[in-house]
Amino acid sequence: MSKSTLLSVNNLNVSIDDKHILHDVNMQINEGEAHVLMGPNGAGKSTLGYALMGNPQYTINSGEIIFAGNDITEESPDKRAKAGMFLSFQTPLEVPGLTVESFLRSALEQRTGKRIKLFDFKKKFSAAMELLQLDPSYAKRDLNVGFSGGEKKKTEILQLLMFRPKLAILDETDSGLDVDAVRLVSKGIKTYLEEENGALLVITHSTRILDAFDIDKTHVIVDGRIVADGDASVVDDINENGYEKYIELVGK
Amino acid sequence: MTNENIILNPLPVPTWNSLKMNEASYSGEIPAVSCTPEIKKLPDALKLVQNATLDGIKSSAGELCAFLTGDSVLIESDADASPAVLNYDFSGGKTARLFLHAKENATLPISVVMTGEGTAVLEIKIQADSGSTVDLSIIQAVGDSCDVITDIGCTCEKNATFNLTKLERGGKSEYVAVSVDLFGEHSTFSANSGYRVKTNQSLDMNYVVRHTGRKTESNIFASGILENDSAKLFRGTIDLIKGCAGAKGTENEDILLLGDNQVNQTIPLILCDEEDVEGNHGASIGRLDDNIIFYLGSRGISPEAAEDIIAHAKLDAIISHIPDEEIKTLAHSLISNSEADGGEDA
Repeated sequence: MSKSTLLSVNNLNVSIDDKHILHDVNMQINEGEAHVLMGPNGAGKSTLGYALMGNPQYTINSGEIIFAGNDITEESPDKRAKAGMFLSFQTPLEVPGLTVESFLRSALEQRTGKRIKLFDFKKKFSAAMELLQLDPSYAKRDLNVGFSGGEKKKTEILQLLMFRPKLAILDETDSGLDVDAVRLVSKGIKTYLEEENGALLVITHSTRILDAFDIDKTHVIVDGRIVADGDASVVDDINENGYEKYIELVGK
Repeated sequence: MTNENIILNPLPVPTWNSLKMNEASYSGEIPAVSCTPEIKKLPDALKLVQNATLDGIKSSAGELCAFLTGDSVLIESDADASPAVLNYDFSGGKTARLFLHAKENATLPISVVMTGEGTAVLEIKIQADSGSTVDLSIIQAVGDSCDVITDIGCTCEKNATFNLTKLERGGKSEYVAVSVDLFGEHSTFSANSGYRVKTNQSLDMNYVVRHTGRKTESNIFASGILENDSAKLFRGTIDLIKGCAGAKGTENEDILLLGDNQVNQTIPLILCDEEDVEGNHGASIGRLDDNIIFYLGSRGISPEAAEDIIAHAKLDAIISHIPDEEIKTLAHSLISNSEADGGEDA
């Protein structure tokens, strides 16, 4: 049975502060698929993640983003999130005064537009915290304030497990994590994929996190251009030979 | 009682008149009717005396004291007491007078909730004897269209501590005067004030701390939200009087601007007549960071909801200083404007 299209990025051109970053990017992700976006530093990987999520600092010059059958190119980030898109930040923001628990409950209520039963929330929250081996005291701590790098990334995956989006964009989620933290984060991602049949776009330039799931498609971006699409073997090729041949494709 | 303009919240040492910050002028009505509190919780360790007062405690409210002659209540503590809770209903416009006396080495934790639709004038005077601790939480939840005047004065003897947590939900014109005398060596004062000044509302604060005793310490923190067309004036005076060697006074403000056309004024005043002392002032004023709006937006929270959540978070941080759990819960519900807050049912 063919899978239906979840995300279509068509000829997307993006700039920031009048600097053209992404050039004619095309990408299609079907429901339940796991895609990987790889590229050297400064290639535009995070820019694509931000542009898909609707960061107003990035200007879409042309092209379109179709998500779950709707054109969301002009939509605000909260509407994209409500439609089922999620971005795990490379550097999650600190929000003093807002506890993790209070934030998650508010966000869930905002996403669904209705009040969440406290019992149901606590049950789901405890299960997700336990899976990621987060101490219950995190619930009462201010969101990301004073968290270590690893704790921040785990909190991003905690949100993934609570929100259960249709598409999760994970921006360098494994960077700066030790082996144990990568294992736990991977477990969270695996649970999301199994229980939600969600789709993934994993932005990375390492491959540690990729052991957690089967890759359906790999995209290579260099200098803001998608220069190659392929299967999981592309990841192996990059691991072995680096980005040199892909960089040559854009004449560098 | 109708007044000509009365002068409230005078700055102890005036600055240029042209700034129009030396004092506030109140032309509203000071109610002629006084009220006593509903006692919600009064532990055995505390003694309540009707119509008793305490003398010799200064005020920074200006001419208000001439109007405060009505019924009063005195609460005394001579032991380690659990929290008391009083509720003042100012419906129709009323004044109230509350006196607190923590005797030597005693504790006096107390929460005062202000409710009702009407002009509210509340005077609280505190005497903290040697080694005592007074924890006072005031939740101002009087109607949004009402004038509110609060006059707090305290004296602290050796090793005494006065902790003040004050939460303002907003009022048409609100005035807060806090005067603290740290007479005794090692006495301390800590204030955590949270406020939300809504459209067409104003808040005028006058905190004055006089450090007389050696190694005394004060810490004033005022954190709030100013919405469209609101006004706030904060006067914070730390007076380091000759002889208070080793004293340290700090005042900090953290202000979030939501919307436009706010008037935000601050006068930090540190007076120093002693060499070996420390006086600090800091302020953080700004709008909600675009990156935080995007971060919360990426979780499904609209910019309007994000502002509301962050505003609540600021006040929640102040509420966390309230020692009584029941009052904490009450404070959350009183400051909440959103139907979604605190709900437990789908």
